[in-house]
Amino acid sequence: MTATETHVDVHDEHDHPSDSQYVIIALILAALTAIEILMFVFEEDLPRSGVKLGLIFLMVVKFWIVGAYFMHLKFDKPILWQLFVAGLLLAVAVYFIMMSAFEFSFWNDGFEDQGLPGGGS
Amino acid sequence: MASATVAVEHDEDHGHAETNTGISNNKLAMWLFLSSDCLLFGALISSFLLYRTNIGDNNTGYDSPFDVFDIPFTSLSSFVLLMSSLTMVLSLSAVNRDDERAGRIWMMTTAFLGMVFIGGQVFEFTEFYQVYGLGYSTNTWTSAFYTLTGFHGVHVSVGILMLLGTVFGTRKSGLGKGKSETVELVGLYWHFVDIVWVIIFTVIYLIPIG
Repeated sequence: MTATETHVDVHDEHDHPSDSQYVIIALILAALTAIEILMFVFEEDLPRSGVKLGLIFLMVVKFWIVGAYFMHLKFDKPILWQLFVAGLLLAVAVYFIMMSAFEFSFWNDGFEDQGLPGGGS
Repeated sequence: MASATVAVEHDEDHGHAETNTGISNNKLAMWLFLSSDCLLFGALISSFLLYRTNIGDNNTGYDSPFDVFDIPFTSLSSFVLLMSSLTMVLSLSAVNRDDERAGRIWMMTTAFLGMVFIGGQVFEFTEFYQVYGLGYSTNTWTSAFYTLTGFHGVHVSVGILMLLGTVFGTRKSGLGKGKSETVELVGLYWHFVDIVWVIIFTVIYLIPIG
């Protein structure tokens, strides 16, 4: 090998979790899902904004865990994480812009009778 | 070999190609596809959100989607899909260890769990149509709902075909370490399908209206 050789190290992703760690990760995901369902069940007893924020937070955490550990983004080359997040951010940005054009408020749900095609009865 | 590209000694174990990024073209292509698929699901989820309060249109008699959602049943489906991600990653782990038998068993288990999820979706759609009278074109809510969850169901079905294709297509060639990248790509697709359901389940089924 010379100094100018390009070294393609395909094995930086090899610190993957063990099988037992994968099982623990899955159990954590199941527990988070159970918390989501409990929040839904006890929705009436909790502040509405708190329920929405909590569910969105848990969703993001679950998304990150699956992406980072099951899809190995945490252990793979950063370009893959960047690629995926770029697509995700683009999707979120484009559709937030679209929804804001329709004066949509996810917080208040108010699209009914706002003149959307097919909206309102 | 001044300008040669040299892969580390065990790259052939995983079927990786030598590229400028150090990532095989197949894997990069899969990630590009998944990244672009975010836009498709982003559009479908946004459309549903726009119409999520319109379930009562055309006199269906329902005030809220929660009048028709069966949350315990959908929660169970979600759990099944979540666990299928575990079996998928265990399959890849087994293939990386060159444990072909375990790799096949976990992959078949993943396909089975996917089928259970699809069965649940068929049941839900049938119930919506036959019990609640909600057809695809009943109103904007039903169109948006069936399109979003239907597209996801199609993705799951394609994933099942990919899994079965990998299991049965490698009967002669074997499913050892050499097929690691193939299994990894199928796994990436499968986990993406799971990750999309994580969003759909929360945004569509759980987040309260109003």
